[in-house]
Amino acid sequence: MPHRFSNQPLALLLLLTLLAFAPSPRAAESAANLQALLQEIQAAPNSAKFEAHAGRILEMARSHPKDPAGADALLWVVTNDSDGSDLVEQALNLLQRDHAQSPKLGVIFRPLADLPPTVAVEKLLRAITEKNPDAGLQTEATYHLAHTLNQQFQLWVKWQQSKEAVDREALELINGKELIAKIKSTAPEKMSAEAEMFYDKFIAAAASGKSGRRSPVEMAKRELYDLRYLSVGKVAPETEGEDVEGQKLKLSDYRGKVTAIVFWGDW
Amino acid sequence: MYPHERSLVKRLENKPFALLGVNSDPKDKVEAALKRENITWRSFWDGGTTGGPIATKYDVHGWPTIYVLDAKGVIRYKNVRGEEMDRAVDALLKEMEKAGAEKK
Repeated sequence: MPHRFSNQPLALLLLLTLLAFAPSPRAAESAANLQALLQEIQAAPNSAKFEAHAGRILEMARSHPKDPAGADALLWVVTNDSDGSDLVEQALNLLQRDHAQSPKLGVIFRPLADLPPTVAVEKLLRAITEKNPDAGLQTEATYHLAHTLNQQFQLWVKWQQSKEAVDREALELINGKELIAKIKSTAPEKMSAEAEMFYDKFIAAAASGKSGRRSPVEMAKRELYDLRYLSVGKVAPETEGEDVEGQKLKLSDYRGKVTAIVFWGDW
Repeated sequence: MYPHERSLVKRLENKPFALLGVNSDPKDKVEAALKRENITWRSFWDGGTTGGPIATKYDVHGWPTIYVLDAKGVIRYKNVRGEEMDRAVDALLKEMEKAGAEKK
């Protein structure tokens, strides 16, 4: 950057002076957290500032991979973008890298459906199907992954059929060079076979009730069960089994103690 | 998650309080976690998958899910995490102490 100035030492001095006297927004940002940043952005919605906001979110999320609020903030980028920009690709990549296990990812499927079937979309969906502990989310991601791979296969068909350079250029413009490079370098029968496999997997999971989308009857049954057996004020359902070391264990053994039941996994 | 739970268990070690896990990992994975994270509290083993019988019975779809029960086994708080869980447990312990004092 300083090479733009003809007088480098002067420019440096100017910069140092500015740094010393102006409050540094960057320092304030790293001290705050992603949740606060997101609240600040949501408090004053301004679509004209989308790029600036998204840039700040991406930068913070990249450097704070373990902050769970990063998932909310990155989802904000994906759901608020209007033209499928590069910022969305970056947000998808970070979600895939750091937040594939987040329970909040349910809102992502709608905006993803409007994007081209890019490599970033595919990778994120794969990560959700492999890593997310929520069976409903996994199932929903399985459908969208099948759909994305299917779209990639259809794009390959279109590419093959577009003999004119101008048509191919248009496809590249709409779908991005990376995606075109991927479909050109992947065996088409592999794409279609994988799509078929994930469709089958989704249909089997949905039939066994692991679907992300529940029918009204299923929703009512589940809400009724929760209300009847799992609400505040109900005796927690008795549970008997073994502990992780193979010793017998019963929930009612804990009567007489305040007990926090924590469902956990090491992921 | 682990450091917070460790400190909660440590802080309340002389109180009528128990932290009870329900673990959804395969056995080898949970054994490694117990050692690595110095986990002293007991956990049900839920069959090695997230769709295990206890998670199903408690309609658990996200992890961690937390239920806080009073001494009678009644569900009093759900999904309180971090400091909220501490406050919930403290409130119930206080309630117990108060009830105990009134009996005497």
